Amino acid sequence: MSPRPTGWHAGTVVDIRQETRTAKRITLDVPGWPGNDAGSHLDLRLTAPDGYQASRSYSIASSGESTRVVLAVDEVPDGEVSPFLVHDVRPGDALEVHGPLGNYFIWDPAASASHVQLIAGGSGVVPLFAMADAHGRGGDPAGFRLLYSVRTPDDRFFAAELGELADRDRIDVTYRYTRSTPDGWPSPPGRVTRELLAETTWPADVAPAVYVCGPTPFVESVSDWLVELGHEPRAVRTERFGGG
Amino acid sequence: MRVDGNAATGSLAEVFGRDVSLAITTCAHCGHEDLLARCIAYVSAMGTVMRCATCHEVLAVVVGDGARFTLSLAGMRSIQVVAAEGA
Repeated sequence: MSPRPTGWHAGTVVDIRQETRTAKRITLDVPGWPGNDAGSHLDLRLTAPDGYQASRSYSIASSGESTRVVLAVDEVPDGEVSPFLVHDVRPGDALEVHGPLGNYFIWDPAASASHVQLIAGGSGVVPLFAMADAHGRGGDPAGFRLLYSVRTPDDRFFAAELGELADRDRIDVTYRYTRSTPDGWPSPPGRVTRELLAETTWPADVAPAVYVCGPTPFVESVSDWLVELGHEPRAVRTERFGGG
Repeated sequence: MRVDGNAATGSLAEVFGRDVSLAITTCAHCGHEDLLARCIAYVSAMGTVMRCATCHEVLAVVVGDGARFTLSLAGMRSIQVVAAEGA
């Protein structure tokens, strides 16, 4: 696939939905957007009336040849950009975006025959959802699995869409709740462990393509364990988003 | 904030005019060769510092204010990119 041109674009907010208690799903229409591959990101820039600018990177939850770009933004309480996006942005507002960015952390159904293991921590599920969604819309034979570490059931991003993909047998989803579980859940709340990775993810001998996205400590623990479990370091692609 | 080299893609695109996350870099300190996206990046309001994933020495620094960007590649022995479309 030829690389997509990247550049600054003026987007318009066309839809806003509550994604979780602390996150919004924001759909932009971006005239001139060249489409984007599943897993890529963009930089979003805000300019204050006095000219002060702040920009942040956000993963894109959508993919394909469209000028519609879907973001899912979780509020970082003391953040500079996310509280504005979560509380103040309204349909019709203009936002400056730079992208699409990141030819590394992408999944291209035409270029990959291997199985795919997605491992998400919190809002790190956003680019992984884009991959699962592209897989759900395509006819590729890859076997997709997602291990999703999230605080509580109410904090799940794309819960309905992931449920629908699972119902169609396009993906196996394992949730790991870290703070509280649904009633009757078989295991108490807890973090992802090396043992859980070994039990619920594609083993190294099927040589899956692995994508890990989440807070930096989560991504570093998980990627170290994956290598210990026999995965090729180069088959494990990571996207850390900082924080803790 | 420690993240992946992937996170530097936007500011590097300001300098190179395109996505260079798949560029192959060689560390001037230890000789480690890797994709730019696989280095370690430290992102702050002032700019981005890219460090070698193997020896953690500084590969590159990019700072900018939206109007002008400055890139230092002092810690890279080389950077290989594929030819631009239409070249």
